[in-house]
Amino acid sequence: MTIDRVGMEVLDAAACRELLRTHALHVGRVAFTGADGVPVVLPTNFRLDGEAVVLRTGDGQLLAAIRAGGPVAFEVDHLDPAWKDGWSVLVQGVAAEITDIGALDRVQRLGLRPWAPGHKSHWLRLPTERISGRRIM
Amino acid sequence: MSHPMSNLRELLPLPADECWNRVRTTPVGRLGFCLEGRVHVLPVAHAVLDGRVVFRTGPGSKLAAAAQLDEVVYEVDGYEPAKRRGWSVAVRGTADLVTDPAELERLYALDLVAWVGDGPFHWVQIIPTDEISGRRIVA
Repeated sequence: MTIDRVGMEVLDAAACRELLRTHALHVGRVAFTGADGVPVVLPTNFRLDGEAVVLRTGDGQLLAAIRAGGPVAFEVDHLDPAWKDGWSVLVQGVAAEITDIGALDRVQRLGLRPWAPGHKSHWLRLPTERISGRRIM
Repeated sequence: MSHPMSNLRELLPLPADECWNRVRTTPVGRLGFCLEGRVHVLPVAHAVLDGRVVFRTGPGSKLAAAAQLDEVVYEVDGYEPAKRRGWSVAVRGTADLVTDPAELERLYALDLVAWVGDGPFHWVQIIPTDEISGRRIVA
């Protein structure tokens, strides 16, 4: 077991992906750099397609950031308010809009229904090649 | 007349005082920041003091590195999954290490739970540069 410098257990990539898989009904947060250069963090639900995180979005600032090829992060956690137990997983990378018909057909069957109003017609895919996580000891 | 589905759910702005109330009464939030070409989102336990968000972190951590950034965002949210409802509040600001002894004394008095083990730690403050903003999904 690896412990980081503040005393938390470092989760390996397999453990992180397993947490995403088993908590795909959780709400996560997607983060990106807005047009003004300031980071933006938005809650979102998600699913996994293989090892990639799948999100839905409308024609807003997230889509613009992704089309510009900017860095994106996706975070999920489960934290006890008293901090006795908890974990967090962070995926970092570049997301792509899913345009392939076969892939769209597959992700549309993942049961990902946005909570927020508006037409979330764009499906995004964020690979989990760079994934990190911590667990409170 | 809009499509009937669009009338079922609404995204409404939260007034600033209600946003601060929610930050104050929610123990955990997430700091978003850009560092070394990557976007980071990390959970912390926070408190609110004099209109600033404060939290603790260990020296050398990513969060300590974030304490030198001019532009960060602190996000707090909450959910009712069964009703598919939720809310989110964002404080945009500058992050800074607290070093003033009188300030530090007040921070220690907060008795804030932190995810930093028993080692040494820093206090980080987020000084808002914009009005707090928030939204909630109404269904």
